[in-house]
Amino acid sequence: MSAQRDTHLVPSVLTAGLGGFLVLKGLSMPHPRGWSSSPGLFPIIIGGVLVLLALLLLAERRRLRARPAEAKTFPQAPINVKIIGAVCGSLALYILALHYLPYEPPTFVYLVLAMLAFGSRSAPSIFFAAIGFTLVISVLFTRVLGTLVPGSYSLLELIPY
Amino acid sequence: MFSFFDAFGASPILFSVLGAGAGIIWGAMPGLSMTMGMALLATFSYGMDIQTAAAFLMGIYTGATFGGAISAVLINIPGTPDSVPIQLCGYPLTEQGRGGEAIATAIFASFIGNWVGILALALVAPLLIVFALNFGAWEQFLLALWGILLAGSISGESDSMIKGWISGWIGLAIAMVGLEPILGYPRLVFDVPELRGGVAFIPVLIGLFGIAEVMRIAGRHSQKTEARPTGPVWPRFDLLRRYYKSALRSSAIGTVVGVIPGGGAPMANFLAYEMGQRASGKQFHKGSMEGVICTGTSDNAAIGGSLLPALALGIPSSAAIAVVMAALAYHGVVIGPSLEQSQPGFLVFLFGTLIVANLAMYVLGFALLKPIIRLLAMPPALLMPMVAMLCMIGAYSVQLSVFDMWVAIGFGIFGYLLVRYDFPLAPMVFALILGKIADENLRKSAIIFSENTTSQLLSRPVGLIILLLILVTILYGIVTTLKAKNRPAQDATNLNV
Repeated sequence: MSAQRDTHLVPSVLTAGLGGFLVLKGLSMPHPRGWSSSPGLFPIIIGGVLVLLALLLLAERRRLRARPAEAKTFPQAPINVKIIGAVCGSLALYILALHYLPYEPPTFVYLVLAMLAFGSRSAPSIFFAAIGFTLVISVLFTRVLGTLVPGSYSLLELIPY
Repeated sequence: MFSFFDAFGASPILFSVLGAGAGIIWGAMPGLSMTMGMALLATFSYGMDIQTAAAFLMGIYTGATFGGAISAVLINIPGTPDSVPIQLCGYPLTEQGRGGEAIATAIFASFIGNWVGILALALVAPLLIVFALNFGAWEQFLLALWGILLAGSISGESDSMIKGWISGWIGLAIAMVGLEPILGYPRLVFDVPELRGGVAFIPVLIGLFGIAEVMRIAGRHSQKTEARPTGPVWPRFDLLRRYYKSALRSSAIGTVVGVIPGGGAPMANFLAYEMGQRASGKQFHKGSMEGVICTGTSDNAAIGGSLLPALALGIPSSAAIAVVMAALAYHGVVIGPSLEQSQPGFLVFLFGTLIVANLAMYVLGFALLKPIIRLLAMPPALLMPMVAMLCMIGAYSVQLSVFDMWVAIGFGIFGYLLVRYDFPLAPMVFALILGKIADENLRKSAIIFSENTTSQLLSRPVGLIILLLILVTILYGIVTTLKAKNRPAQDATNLNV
């Protein structure tokens, strides 16, 4: 188990923490006519069960450490914090940009930069894929489905229909 | 009011064809799961009327169920997890220059399997609904609970049932967010006004399956895939006549196993593959048309089976069905035993849409084969950023809310970490759909049973049976967790959907 990532300890601690939080939150909810009609009933039950499951997960961890032959042996993919940061950070910037700009420019720019970041190096492919996708989605949502796209507005609204 | 023949109107047929086409293309693309596709493509249904939306969704589901077989057989990469068995028996045929024949036979086998599933659904669903209408709040709560536990047990079978259960119960906790339905008390909203309506289901799915997948593929050095020459694309009808027993057996397996929450098509297809291999005495992994027929019929027969618990009991059997339920709920159609009361005729209308979708899948399966082969060559570097943008607009479109885009990103991180720590996602998805139903029915039951609890419980035999099933499921999981067993080395294939 030591050669593999320990996939039991951190989840069991976090699960127990979540369970405990839910129990406390549930207990703080009102119960004017007893717990049977209280909004806190199910959160308390869920929290209690999560704490129990966290303990069972720890018990399973103990069994696997005592019997390493039972542990999974296939290679585990790493947790890449940089990738999480890059993908989520770029999407967050994209959403913030949409507060001030119409839909099409941030979408096109995001696509170009993301395709470069993913490793594409063919400028014509990147350009045509990005512009094609942006236009198709914009037309599909604003003209065909008659709904809105995120952003201050869509550039297609400036074109008379 | 709806009728069976409404499904054959111009608009439902058109959108069923569009849905089937989109589903086939999506299902064929490796790295794009069916659940992700359902969640994103369902976005387009929000601007449609109910009939068109239902036809579109059934088209997507039918198409995507088959679509994974195309990349599995032609380029040795399963488009969806349930396509792994057909990959094992189909790709060796492609290596022998018979890929076109194999995929054409798979299309025809899927077409036949679909009919068996639809027939089973049409015969059994009305009977089960009549039975389910007698369920009270207590039985409905127990059923929801058992569905989540079962999904956790089956999804976590290969690694840890406890992790499957934790996934389900975390889903229940997420379902608690928002104003609770009886007293209107805000739970777990943390003074965020957007959370008072709860966490929207589709953005959560888009995050768990869409954004998380983008993160998984980012940083991986993925190469362009090339398809081998397929040879003539023509189904071997004579083989279906020769192996009709295998086809019938596999269709039955697909229909029955498709009913099980958390199991569904992947389990059905592996079972059909294994049983077909044993019955024939052949080794399917060396390339076998009989294997293609077994897995093809089973895969699409599971569609009918997987819809059965949803229509009759309101319990989704797979994450993809959960998306269909959520998308139809957006249109005011609540799938469950009271469907016929709230939307008379919708059940038979749905059967009609399945028939149309099956015909569309059959025609488009052949028509789209060559374009899909070209699309399969699209590098992930171009595809994944487009998927990310689809995720963003998909999350936004549900409630036209930017907050939902943030929800999708948050659940993308959560989904990525869950999979890295070997937690299955399907139980969480079921719990998100069933959580509020379970909560409401638990509180109603607690009020009903506040006096003479024991005698009330004993007078409800169906409730006792479901309670017994729950206890058996829990005991099985705990014993499996604590007992020593020899666990063989496993493949790293992620069967989370």
